Amino acid sequence: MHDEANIENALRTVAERQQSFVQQLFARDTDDLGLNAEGMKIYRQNLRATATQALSISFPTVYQLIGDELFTFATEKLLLKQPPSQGDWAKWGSGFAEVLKGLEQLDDYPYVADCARLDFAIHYSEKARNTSFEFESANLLAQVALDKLGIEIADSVTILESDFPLIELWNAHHSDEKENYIQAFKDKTTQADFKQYILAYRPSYKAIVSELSESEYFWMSRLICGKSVGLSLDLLEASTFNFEQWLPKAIEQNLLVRFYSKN
Amino acid sequence: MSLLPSTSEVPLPKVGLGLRHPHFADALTSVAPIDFVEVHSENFFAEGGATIAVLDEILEKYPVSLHSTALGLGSAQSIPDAHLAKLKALAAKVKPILMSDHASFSWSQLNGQSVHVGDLLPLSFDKQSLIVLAHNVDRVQQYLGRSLLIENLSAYVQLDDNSMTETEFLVELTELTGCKLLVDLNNIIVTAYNQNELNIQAFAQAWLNDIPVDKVGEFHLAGYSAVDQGQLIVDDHSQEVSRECWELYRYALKRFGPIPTLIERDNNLPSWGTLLEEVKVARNIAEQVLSNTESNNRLCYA
Repeated sequence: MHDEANIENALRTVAERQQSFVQQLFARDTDDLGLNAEGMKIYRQNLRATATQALSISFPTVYQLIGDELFTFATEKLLLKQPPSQGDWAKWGSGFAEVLKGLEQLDDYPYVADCARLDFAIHYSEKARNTSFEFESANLLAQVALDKLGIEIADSVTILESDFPLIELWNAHHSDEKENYIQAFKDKTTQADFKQYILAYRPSYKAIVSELSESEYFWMSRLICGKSVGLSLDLLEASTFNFEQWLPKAIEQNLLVRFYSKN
Repeated sequence: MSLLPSTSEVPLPKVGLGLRHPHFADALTSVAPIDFVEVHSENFFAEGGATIAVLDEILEKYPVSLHSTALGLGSAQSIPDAHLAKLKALAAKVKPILMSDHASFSWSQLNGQSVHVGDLLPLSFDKQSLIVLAHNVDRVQQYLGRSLLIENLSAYVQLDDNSMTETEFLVELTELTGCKLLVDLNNIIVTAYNQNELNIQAFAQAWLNDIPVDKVGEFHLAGYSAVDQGQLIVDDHSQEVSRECWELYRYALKRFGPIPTLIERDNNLPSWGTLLEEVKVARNIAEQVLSNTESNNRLCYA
């Protein structure tokens, strides 16, 4: 193999060339690319097509909502704003909701950006680490003070809040009862001060969305932030949240990994 | 496992099929008469969920080759440790019969940000690129504890810095790192067309003649979509194996012997059964070529 100095020198030289190639690849102008114009066009088309296909898998509801043309346009915006950096297209797209929020074509459809957040939460959930509740850890409930007790939430769980009826919107695109959900979406959209709290979780292989009460949402958001069971309950003092009722349901839904001591 | 007993006494190549998502159910319903399946590593980078469960089922039924498309082994920007760790974990689970990626780059910088372009970008065939590629291949092989197969690309651009031929570049890579080559026969044909070679088979055969017989670890066979005259052919893996590719396969078998062979199809997928027919064609050709007394007179240009 080559010595270190040769390698360093080669890395520097090749890095410059490759950065210049990538700059041309992401550029949208049609500057003179000389003999390589046709070839560069192929690489540009590949990049655009692969990126659009990847996002259409991660954001299936948004894709159906806004159609291929606008979706491709939004994908290009994301490519420039937040190019992929992980070598796994399935991981790309965390900034897509922000891009959609900024599109003037969607000014009259403000729920699309929130819908993207829900799509990505479901996509993320379906690829997250497999976990199941460690029942022995429940012994800590009797051994550790509640303000020193934490609950680890499964990686496959995401909670969201939205001013729009996203669950109905999502079901309108993914269930057999489309018409009912479309009607429910329309009805709820007209309600003043509408708020929806959403849970995306994965009991087995398929992610599920369901609605949370406001108190369940704040309770779970505190646990996800690493706050103790005691503190999280104290912050909900005046609410109707019932820990004893929540716990078995949460275990059944595969929301929890384990109890742990925060000492 | 599906390793069909050969009725011939002549050693025949293992022939496999690229397994893509739409064919998972077909491949898992019953064990197909193929020697292995090839999956794209990055499609199984998820930490859990249904994809991993499917992979477990695949592993119960078939030997698996892991073909990566995102290592970007020719990148001057370092391949992130986290990416390599995912590949290593996958390899530990799969115990693949072969592991491969391309002579290409993917990682770079764009306006000060790290970027992975998600494509197989071309390398200049010169000393500097060779040093970078060899450095990365060596690093990855050391990390994985096994050797890689490196695949030749289809050419769409002519880079200014070339100072050696593609085959000189690839052969030197094998000597520097101990890796072998995954020779994609369709890519050689596509390159020949895109470089306006007058005699496609002559170009492709000369390309193969430049590679020593002990440096090849796998063949990929594929087709390409026809284009209008003057346009570049894209290696889109959307067509059946072309007549030209079958012809070149005969030549490659004569030269290199029973090298593991993969039928590669990623887009415009036909039925699983249609792909299995292509496996049969590959086997028939291999049997004809390798058992034929005329062809036992192996061509040796190494």
